[in-house]
Amino acid sequence: MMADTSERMAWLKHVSEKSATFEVDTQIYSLEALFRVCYAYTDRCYLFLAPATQEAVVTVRITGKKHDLDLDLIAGEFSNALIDERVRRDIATETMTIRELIVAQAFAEADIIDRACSEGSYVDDPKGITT
Amino acid sequence: MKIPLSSMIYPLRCLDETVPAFGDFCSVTIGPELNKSYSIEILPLSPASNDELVANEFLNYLLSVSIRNHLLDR
Repeated sequence: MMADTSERMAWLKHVSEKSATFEVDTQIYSLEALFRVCYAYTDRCYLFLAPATQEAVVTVRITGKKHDLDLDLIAGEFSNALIDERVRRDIATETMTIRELIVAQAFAEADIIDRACSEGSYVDDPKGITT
Repeated sequence: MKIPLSSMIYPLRCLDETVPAFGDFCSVTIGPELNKSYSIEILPLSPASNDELVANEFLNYLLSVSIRNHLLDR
C-alpha cells in the first residue's frame, strides 16, 4: 500500500495552509537549473528563494496563487522539473562539441562552396564534365 | 512588511526595475547591504490592499527580473 503524501514527501514542510518549503542542494541541481524551473512556475505560485543555513543549499518557499492549489502536487512536479533541467544541462554539455561542429560545418559549407561551379550553367560546363 | 533578501539571488540592481513597476501599488524601502544580504520593506499605498498579496506579487516579479539577469549574465 502506498504511503500518504506527507510520508512520501518528507522533504516538504508545510509552513501554512497556503505555503510550503523545501531545500534544493545547488551542488546537485545548479542554481541555473533552479532559476529556470522557478521561472516556469511563477505563473502558478509565488516563489521565494533564500540561502539555507547549510552552504550551497537554497530554501524554496512556494505559495499557491489559488486556494485550491495542491502544494504536494506542485512541489512534486517542481522537483521532477529540476531533474529534467539537470538532465537537459548534462546532455547539452555532453553534446556541445558535436553541436558546434554541425553548426560550423553548416555555415562553412554555405560560405566555402564555389558558387561558380555549383550555380553554373550545365551548358557552359565550368568543370569540364562532358568530354 | 520587512523581508530579508540575499543579494546573490536577488541582486540589488534588479530592484531598480521592480520598484518602479510597482510604483502604483506600494513604496519600497531598501536597507543597507551586509554580508551579501539586505532587507526591503514593502508598504502598500492603498489601505484597502492586501499586504501579503502585494508582497508576494512584488517578490515574484523581483525573482523573474533576477532570473533573467542571472541567465543573461552567464
